[in-house]
Amino acid sequence: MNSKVTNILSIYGTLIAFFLLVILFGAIVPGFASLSNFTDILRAVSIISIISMGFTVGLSANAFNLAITGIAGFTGALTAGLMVWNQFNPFIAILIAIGCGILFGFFIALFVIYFKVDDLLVSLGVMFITQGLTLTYTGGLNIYSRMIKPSMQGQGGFITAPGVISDSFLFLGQGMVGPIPMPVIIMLIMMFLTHFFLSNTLWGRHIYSVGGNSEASYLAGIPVNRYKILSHSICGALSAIGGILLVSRLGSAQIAEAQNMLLDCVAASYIGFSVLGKGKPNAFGTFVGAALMGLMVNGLTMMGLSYTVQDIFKGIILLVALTISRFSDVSK
Amino acid sequence: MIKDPMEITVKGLTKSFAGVKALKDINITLNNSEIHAIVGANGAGKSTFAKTLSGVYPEYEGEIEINRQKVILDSPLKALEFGINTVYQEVGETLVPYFSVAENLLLIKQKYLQRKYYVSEAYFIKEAEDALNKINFKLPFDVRRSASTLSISEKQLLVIIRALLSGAMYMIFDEPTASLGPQDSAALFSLIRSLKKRGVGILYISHRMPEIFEIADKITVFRDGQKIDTFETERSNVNEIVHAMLGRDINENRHIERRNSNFQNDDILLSVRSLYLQGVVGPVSFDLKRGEILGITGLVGAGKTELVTALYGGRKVDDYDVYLENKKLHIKNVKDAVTEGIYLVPEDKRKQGLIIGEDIEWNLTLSSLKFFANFFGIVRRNLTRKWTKEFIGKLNIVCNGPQQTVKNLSGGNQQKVVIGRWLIRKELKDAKVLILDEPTVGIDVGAKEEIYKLVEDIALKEGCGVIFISSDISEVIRIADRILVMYKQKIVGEIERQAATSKKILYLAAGGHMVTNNNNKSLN
Repeated sequence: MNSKVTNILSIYGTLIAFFLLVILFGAIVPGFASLSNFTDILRAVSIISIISMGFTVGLSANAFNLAITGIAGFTGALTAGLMVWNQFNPFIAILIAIGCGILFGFFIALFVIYFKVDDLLVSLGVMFITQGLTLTYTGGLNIYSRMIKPSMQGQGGFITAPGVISDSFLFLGQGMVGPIPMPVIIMLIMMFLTHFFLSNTLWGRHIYSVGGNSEASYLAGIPVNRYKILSHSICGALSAIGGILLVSRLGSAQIAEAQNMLLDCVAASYIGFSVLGKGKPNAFGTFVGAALMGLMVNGLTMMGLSYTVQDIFKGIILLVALTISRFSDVSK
Repeated sequence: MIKDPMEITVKGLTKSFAGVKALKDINITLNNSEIHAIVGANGAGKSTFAKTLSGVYPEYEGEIEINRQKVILDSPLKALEFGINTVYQEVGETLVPYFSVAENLLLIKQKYLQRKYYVSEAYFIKEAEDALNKINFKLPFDVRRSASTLSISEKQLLVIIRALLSGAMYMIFDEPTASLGPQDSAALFSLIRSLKKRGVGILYISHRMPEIFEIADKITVFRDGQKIDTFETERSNVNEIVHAMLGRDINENRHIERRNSNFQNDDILLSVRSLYLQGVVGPVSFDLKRGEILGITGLVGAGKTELVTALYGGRKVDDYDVYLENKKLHIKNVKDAVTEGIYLVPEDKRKQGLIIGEDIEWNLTLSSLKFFANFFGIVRRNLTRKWTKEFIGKLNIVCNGPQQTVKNLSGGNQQKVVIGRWLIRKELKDAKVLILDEPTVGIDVGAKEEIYKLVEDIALKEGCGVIFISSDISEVIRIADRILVMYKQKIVGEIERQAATSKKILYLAAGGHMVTNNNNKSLN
């Protein structure tokens, strides 16, 4: 292949594929190319995008974090539980949940730094812990407004929860601002902030440096451990925000829902490598990755294909994107 | 059990890497009744020679004969079939860490694979003990132990015995004492002597004179890929060997005019006292003056890099005191060192110096980014761009612009980026000491000169103290005001610029002063 073509493909390949897919589905699927459908797609991928932003920040420091969705699941359940059982103000409940997400990230980072265990393995452990915590905290039940659960004494009685998931909280996941769904707005804000943080601030650039070559960064006088802690904490915070939004979107805390998103989030971040030839984790690319997968699922569903084939296509997208980012590695 | 005579004849052996000849027309005869040492300075081709004989490099010119039969050693397996075994420096890599000693001993023979489908640990132990009895050798440790629990010297012993079991006729040792203490070295030497008695020939590669004079029957000197001469140890001495290693007086760079320093005084800038890390470096003490270039040289494994890495906070040390401008420093990590104004250009620019996937601007501003960020931590790109452009010009970095990925720069330009990073920081915040670890490795001649000029400017004009580390003796003589020579983790000599000669330095670096041989007359 001609090197100029390779160069263009390595930079714009994923975006070209994205628009080709839009045109293709638009041509063969009636109703695909409508504003409301695009809004639906964006809404469908907004939560995955936000959690993927967290994964992306972790990955920028070269940390593969498997606990993102576990953290999202637990913090989501915690938010719902605090509101429904403890009648917390939604705002306070959200703050506590985000704080909790940060703590999990902090914990992972400390483990990585002081016990020299690989990020992937520590986060695998934390993934199980958060899943277990979710089940323990919820008692295996979904949490919803005025929920009913068996009383602890085992006498066959039931208790009704005193609180509700308030409308103001539900607005975050279900509301619309004009024609744009609220979660999409939040997602776009998170994307912008993450992007700005990673590429324009001192801390973000140091996180990239640590991820790019931690030994060279250390020898250049960068406090590597501090940036590991920072990136893991931000990763935890973004995971928590995703988890909270998920609860708001569904109107209840569904215990296994977040966990199902794990591999989609990982894939979205890696597809993001190929966008604009960055060759490294980046927020805009991650968003494109998530949107690309959402687009594919949406189009295929509207074509009447069974959901069973969706994963096959996700896998293909990921492989193509990884190949494209290899190209950009070579041509740079 | 004395083995049959074996003779390896090498005729016209030439080996090139990408057009550069690492070995030129080597003719040598080795046999299994002697210990033959190969010596030479860094880059003389010793290791290449050893690797070619072990079959690591399948493509070579020339002929190798074993007992007058032409052989082609194009794989390590082939070499093993002819009974040529090699004990590499990293002995651990040839062992399976979680297997027992017994199983590791049998790894090469793999007898059990042919006979049995089920093998038990007891079977291995019995087989291993039988095999050891057959060659009449007792291991000083239990064959049941797992290989990962062995010390380096024990691993080395295990590898040697395993080679013996597999029928080795000829063994090659490549710097075997590099990671051994004195006692372990002594034990190794007696083992090597007993190998010789058993009829195993030894090729011993080293640049440490005391060892060579202790153990070798013959000494062959390599220089620049060529065989210079072979000496009988009995009738030779260190001076003769060092002289052969150097050749005629190589370019001493005497003609290079030294620019006058603005800082010619005896103002001590940095003083290091008894820096010590057991088995790795020291104890070492030295002073660095303001505006001085202090060269530290020594052969590979002398502890130069370890010394500066420890000084820079990159490695924990057992004990040391450092004074900068008479103030005691407490350097716990690199950040402390950088904050005090001590900067390091590390040995391996790609692995330790650069964020290889990022661009020039990123890498040049890496250590000063906080000075370019505003109160909210936002990096002012116009500033980083301006400084990057300025330093690309100042350092003459050949590139397409600040946005070029450093991966694609030449070695010389990459090194300039790493040095430039500290120069930018120096402009923004006072720098005191710059440490350069092998800054010219893998760089072409023109870029080397540019880096020397740069280093001279930093020291002579701006008054930084520079520590310049290099294994290239002529380079140290070219650049340094004062030279410290290291041998086996210690400083063994200090030579002023005016008095420095390659011969004097190499004599010290190769441990010549420690040889106790009757033939030795003192130097000069």
